[in-house]
Amino acid sequence: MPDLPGGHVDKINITVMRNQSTQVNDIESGKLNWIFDPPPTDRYTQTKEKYEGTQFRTEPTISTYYFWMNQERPPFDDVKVRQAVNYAVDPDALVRIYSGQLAPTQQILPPGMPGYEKLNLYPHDMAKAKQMIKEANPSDMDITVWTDSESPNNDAGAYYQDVLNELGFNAELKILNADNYFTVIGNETTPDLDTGWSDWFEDYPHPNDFFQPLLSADSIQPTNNQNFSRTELPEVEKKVDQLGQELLGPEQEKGYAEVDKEYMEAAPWVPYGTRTLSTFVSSDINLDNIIWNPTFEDDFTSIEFK
Amino acid sequence: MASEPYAEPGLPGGNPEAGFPPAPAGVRTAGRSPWYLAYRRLLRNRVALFFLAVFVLIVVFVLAAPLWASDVAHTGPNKTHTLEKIEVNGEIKEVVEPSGKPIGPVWFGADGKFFLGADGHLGRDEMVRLMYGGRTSLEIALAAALITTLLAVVLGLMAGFYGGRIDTIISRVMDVLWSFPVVLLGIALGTALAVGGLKIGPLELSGTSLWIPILIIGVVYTPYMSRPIRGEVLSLRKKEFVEAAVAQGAGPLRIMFVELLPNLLSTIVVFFFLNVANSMLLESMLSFLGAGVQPPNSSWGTMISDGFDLLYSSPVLTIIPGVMILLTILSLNVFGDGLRDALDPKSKVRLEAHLGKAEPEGTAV
Repeated sequence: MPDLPGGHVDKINITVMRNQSTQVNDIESGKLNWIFDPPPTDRYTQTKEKYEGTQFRTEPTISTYYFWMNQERPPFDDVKVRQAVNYAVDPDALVRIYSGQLAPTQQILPPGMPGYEKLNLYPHDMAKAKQMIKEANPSDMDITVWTDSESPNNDAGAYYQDVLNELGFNAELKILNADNYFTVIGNETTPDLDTGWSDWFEDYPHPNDFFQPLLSADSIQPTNNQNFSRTELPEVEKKVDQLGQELLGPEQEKGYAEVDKEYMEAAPWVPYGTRTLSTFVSSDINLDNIIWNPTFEDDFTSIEFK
Repeated sequence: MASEPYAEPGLPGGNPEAGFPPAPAGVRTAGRSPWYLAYRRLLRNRVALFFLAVFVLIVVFVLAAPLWASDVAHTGPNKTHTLEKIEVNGEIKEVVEPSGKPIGPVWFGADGKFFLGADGHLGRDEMVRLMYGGRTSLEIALAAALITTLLAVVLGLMAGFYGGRIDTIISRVMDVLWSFPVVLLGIALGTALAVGGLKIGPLELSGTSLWIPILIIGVVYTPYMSRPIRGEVLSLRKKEFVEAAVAQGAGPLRIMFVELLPNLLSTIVVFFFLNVANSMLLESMLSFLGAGVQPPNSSWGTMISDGFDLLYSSPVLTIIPGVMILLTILSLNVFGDGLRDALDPKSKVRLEAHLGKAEPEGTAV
């Protein structure tokens, strides 16, 4: 922008670029000034080491990455089976699969969300998980694992499938194009919706943004369903409704922490982490002044040239 | 023009200049079948034989996959080792670094484990996946080529022999199929079938079944083979031996499969090998694009696709399966060319004449 001596930008040109590695190259060469996606996993560490503080910054998000288990059909209609899977999945392995761009968690509410109190209900223990599956003796061992094609979610799905197979299930992996993944798994006519991958980023900073759309009976819909685990816990839902009518304060936050624990005891999900994103800009952009919002991410009005 | 009986160089009575003495006077040389002559011609084509040997080595390599997996690598093709550590030449190394970078080739540094390193964030053994992936790729290529051959022979024979309406219907259907770009048609069918699988009457295939890419590839290549077969049948059906069979009261099926088919065998054999190579290439393309072999099962195409995510930090993950595809396709194509030259020597004459190397007319080839 030669006519602008400094200050904020008055025009933004958006280019759609499929290859994330090319995006990084173009930031490095100055062809692009800002990219939406974080650097691809194989360039993340190198980019971080080289540009952190000058052109690169890691950013927190209020998000939960998880595997859902459909409670309406065997084998996941048995709480023991769901708890066993929680013991079997190792969030540390998934952190490595996400190249460190994930903080391990094992609960529904992510850090930073009011009501978050760290839970550690299911420390990784494969032997215990196998024992629990043996005791539960599920009637149906043939299951389908769903995930999308976006890297590394596809690898997360493959890891999850391997864990389930180690538990004795006969798990088949289905990887769908990321463009229509949620449409397909949100449609009740799709066959074999047993278990799969999903994530959720907050829309607004309130715990109800997680519990109501993702875990309430009302959100079980024939199409565009978001309660993939088809969870129905009326008692807990009552609490959520009650808390939602009150002004958020320390007491309500405590109530939400209890709700989080109650849901995780019923184990409809295997939550495994909170995503870390990043801001990566070209050398002529002032990184320090860019404002990051955990809900809306980079604030474009704060982007300025040096 | 001198009229000489057909003689095969290198065979008794054939070519004294080549060091073979002519048959003694008065002794009749035993006749040789065209297949035997083709076999002798093929034996003289060292390049084709070399690439046949390469192909055989590749087949042996992929067939040894279970042995390597159980006795050397001690792991399966889909087994993840994300957080594991291994001892490489006395040094403890992580299979996947915290940054997500997989271990590179360690050769025999860990007693054969992770010989070619790990395949990515999941830490699966690259060598084991390469061997199993090769099995998948070759299985699909061979089965698809068989389906193509079967469909093409039956349809080509029917269209060429019956002519008329049957020919029109079959040829137009083939034209429609031919008019689709092969890769696009494969992707469309592959993505559609990968979710719900395939259900036609009692036939039910799950979305991850290998039969889905096999059927897709087998069907989309059919017009490329049935057309030339139909053309050959059109010229053969006017020959005297067909008229003789008709005069003897032979039915259409007998004429097609007993009289005509043996005359098409050399074409079919040559096409089959070329089809295997083409099918393998298409399988790799479809798998790379996510419409062929479904993960976590490996094929060389899916391995290239997986390695593509780590192209910057671990290019070897893309290069190794790429080289295997290259070697297999090259070996099949060169051997297929050699086979064609052996089975249809006239094509060689034409080629050499075109290059200005043809021998004088009347000289035995």
